[in-house]
Amino acid sequence: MSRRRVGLSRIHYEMSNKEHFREIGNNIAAVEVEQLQNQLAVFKTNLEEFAQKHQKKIRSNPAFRTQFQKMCQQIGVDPLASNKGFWADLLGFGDFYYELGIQIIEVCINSRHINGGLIAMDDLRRAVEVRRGARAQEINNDDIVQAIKNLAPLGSGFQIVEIGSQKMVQSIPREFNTDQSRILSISQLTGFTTITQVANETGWAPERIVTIMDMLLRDGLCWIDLQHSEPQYWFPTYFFSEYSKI
Amino acid sequence: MDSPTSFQFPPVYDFPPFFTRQPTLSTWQDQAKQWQTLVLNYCRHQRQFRLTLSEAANSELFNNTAIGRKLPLAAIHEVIQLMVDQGRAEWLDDKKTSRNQCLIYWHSPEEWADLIYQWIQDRALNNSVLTLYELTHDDLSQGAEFHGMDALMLRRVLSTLVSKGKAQVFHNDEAANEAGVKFF
Repeated sequence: MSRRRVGLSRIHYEMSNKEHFREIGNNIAAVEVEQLQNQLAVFKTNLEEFAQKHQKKIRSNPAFRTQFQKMCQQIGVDPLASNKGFWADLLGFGDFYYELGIQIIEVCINSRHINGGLIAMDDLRRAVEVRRGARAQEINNDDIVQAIKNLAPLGSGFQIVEIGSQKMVQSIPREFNTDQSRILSISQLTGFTTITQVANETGWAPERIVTIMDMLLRDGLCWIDLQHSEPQYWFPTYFFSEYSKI
Repeated sequence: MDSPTSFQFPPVYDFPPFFTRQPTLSTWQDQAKQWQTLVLNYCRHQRQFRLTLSEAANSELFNNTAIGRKLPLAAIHEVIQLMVDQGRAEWLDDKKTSRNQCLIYWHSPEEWADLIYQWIQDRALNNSVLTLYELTHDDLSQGAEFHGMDALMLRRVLSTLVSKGKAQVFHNDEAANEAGVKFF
């Protein structure tokens, strides 16, 4: 029969137990980490094999590329992290988005004098596609988004904003307040609006609307047409959707 | 050269506010630039060397009947003045207040001079005397870009050649039409 340990002896006993447990715990943790690392290594290898196998498809099919991107992000592999290394070599991603970024900048800057630095995502993509030529890899809007994200560290100030039902790209650093966004969204369907129309849809006082309109005029985002019974405010970014010649 | 095809207006020609002078300076600068390009391209296509603004204001160039918009005369004046500043037009009225006519240089006088001189060279017409009328309005130059050139513009163009010693103009005070030119 064992007798209860008391006093110092008990303390010693408990301490050695604790150490023992900690040791076991550490061992288990180490094993788990090792297993995890093995699993991750296997997974990476599989992913690499997958990428190698579907290399063509990833390069040529925008929808597939987007999915692949998402998958990589979820497991913390960033194929865009650098221009060098396995991923970039295999998929040419670094160059791909770098090149796309340059083309986006070109289209945005060259069309700025027309649209005031605000362009619909679809129009931008089409203009970029024209610029890239018929033989270039196909691109979709997700690629545009990714390329713009990659431009952020360069301080490009390019931003994607949601106006009404459309995604648009802002190439001039500025924030639309809610009033401006509202008016941009009201004008989206017809390409223009009037003080009366905005007043009817928002219930705002005419003074408030005139102030916002003046801001939009000053920013080069809209043009005024005085040859109508009521002045019309036209938004070139909605009117001109073809930028193929710039 | 005298193609009957109608002029292809740019997309901005259908943008209603293009016919209202924009209050924002940078927008107006861009708008005025687009008007200048349009005027030059239009005149070149129509082979119009001279514009009378009061008339042009009602022509299709400045008056888009399809959308019911026309550029006001004051804005037309501003556009032409900008063209004058860049050597792309020349006022023909001395008085600032009543300016209504101008020459439109879709080629600069120097470019026209080179074109005409080259044309003479190609036909080995150096050293023969041609009347100014013959040079620009006779069958001889049919098909050349300078065919039909405004007489006053032709004088300006030839004077650049004279100053380079490449031509000599013989004036006829009694009949301006019969003035002659000889190229060297």
